[in-house]
Amino acid sequence: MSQDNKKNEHKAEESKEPGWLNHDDSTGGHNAADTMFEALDSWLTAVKHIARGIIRHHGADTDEDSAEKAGKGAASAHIDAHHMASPAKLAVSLVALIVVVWLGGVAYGLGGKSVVVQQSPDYIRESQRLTWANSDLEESKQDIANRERQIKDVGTQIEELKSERERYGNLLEEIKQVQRQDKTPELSVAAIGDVSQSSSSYFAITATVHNQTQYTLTSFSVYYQVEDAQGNVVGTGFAMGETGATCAPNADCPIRSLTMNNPTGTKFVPVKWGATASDGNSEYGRYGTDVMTKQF
Amino acid sequence: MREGSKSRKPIILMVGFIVIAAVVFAGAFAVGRVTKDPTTDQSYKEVTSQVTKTENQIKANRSTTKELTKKRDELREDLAEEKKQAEADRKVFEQYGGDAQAGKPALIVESISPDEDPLYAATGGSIDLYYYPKFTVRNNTGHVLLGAVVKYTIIGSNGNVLDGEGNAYVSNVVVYPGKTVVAEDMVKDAGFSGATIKPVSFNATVADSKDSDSTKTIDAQYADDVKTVTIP
Repeated sequence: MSQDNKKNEHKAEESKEPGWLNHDDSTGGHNAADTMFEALDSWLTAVKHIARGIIRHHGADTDEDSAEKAGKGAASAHIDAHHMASPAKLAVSLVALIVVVWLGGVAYGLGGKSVVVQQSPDYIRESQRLTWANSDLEESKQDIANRERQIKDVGTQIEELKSERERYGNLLEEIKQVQRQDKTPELSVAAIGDVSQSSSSYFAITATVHNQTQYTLTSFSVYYQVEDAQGNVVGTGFAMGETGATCAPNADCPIRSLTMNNPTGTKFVPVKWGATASDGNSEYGRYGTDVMTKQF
Repeated sequence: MREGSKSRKPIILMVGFIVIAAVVFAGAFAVGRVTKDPTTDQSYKEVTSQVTKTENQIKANRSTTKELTKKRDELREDLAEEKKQAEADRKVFEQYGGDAQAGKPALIVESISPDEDPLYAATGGSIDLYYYPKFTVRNNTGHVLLGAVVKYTIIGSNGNVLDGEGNAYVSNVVVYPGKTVVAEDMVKDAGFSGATIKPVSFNATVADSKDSDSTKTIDAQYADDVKTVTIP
């Protein structure tokens, strides 16, 4: 459809009746949607004019406006004419526009508010995270509580053990002390022989010691005790080399002890050693509990 | 018809306006709803910040737990070591230790044996008679006993002191608490038959834990009710 045709049509309609009414009549049936669209059309046109009116002096280019509006339909032109003619109508339109804009704004806000954030996937995801986090937090708190409890338990046990050891007191230290050799023995016990009857009154105990020194020993002896099954010391004595015997460096040498008490059934425990080197230097020391012993 | 259309015009305009308003409202509402970003909502932000806060707490807690775990493991190692030590100590103590009996002397005289020299009988009395008084004493010092001296007298049946300076010795021994040891002496007979051997005092050398490998001496008098023995 050409512009001219439109203009003509427009003019023709204008001369007769308002376009919307005419249209309404021609269609016969009243269509709500049509009416709505026409109204919308008219109104938008009015808005357009108001906008133009603000920019330009209205009335001067009425014809031009009308011509431009040709595409919008006859009804718009008609209403337009009314609007252009009345500042009151212009004001009403302006108010209507403001109301609509305001309504739009309100609706936009309400639309946003209508979204139930708590049901949005984002929120649900975050909520789930919070749930897990809270669960983890509980767990982490329990972990700490567990650790603290465990530490307390261990601490208590250590304290108990310490107090038990305290109960043993110095005696334990003494026992440990006497059970350690005080120095490296110059005479180590290499063998302990059996008990033999030496004479009617004496029993002989023989043993072999090893000279751990680089000196020839002119005297070498081992002090011992014999114990019963309960650990009571039932006898003591010392075993030594034969009179005049020497013990060469790094050699095994025999020693012997004579005792009037029958050691049978007792335990032979070397306690101390004594060694005198050919230069006259003597050394004594205590054996530890790691020394060789013998149950007779 | 024309008059009627004129009167209906405002109504139609009004209706149109309402419809437009409704459409705009609906549209804006729809746009508002669709474009709504839940992540900008306060409640969402609160949840997020709560999550962050909680996660930070968890992080801190886990770090604490880690430290505590380390501490616990160290303590457990200590405990294991302590237990091992305690077990060894207990064994040692049970085997060798023992509490001193209260109200009794540090060296309790358990028995005294006058022991005549067997050679005297073996030689048919052709040599001098010697006695070997043996004092079996119990270590009640509460320490490890390393040596002891028991001083005794020999009192004749008439009450005269026949020998006032007897000393029975034992040395180079390790006697644990509660165990007995024998201190021995040798004394030449001086008409001792029928006389009584009576401990007077003692002198005990014990280990002193305060100073490594040092000893200390405990001495005391025996009470009058001390065990005695009569020489046959």
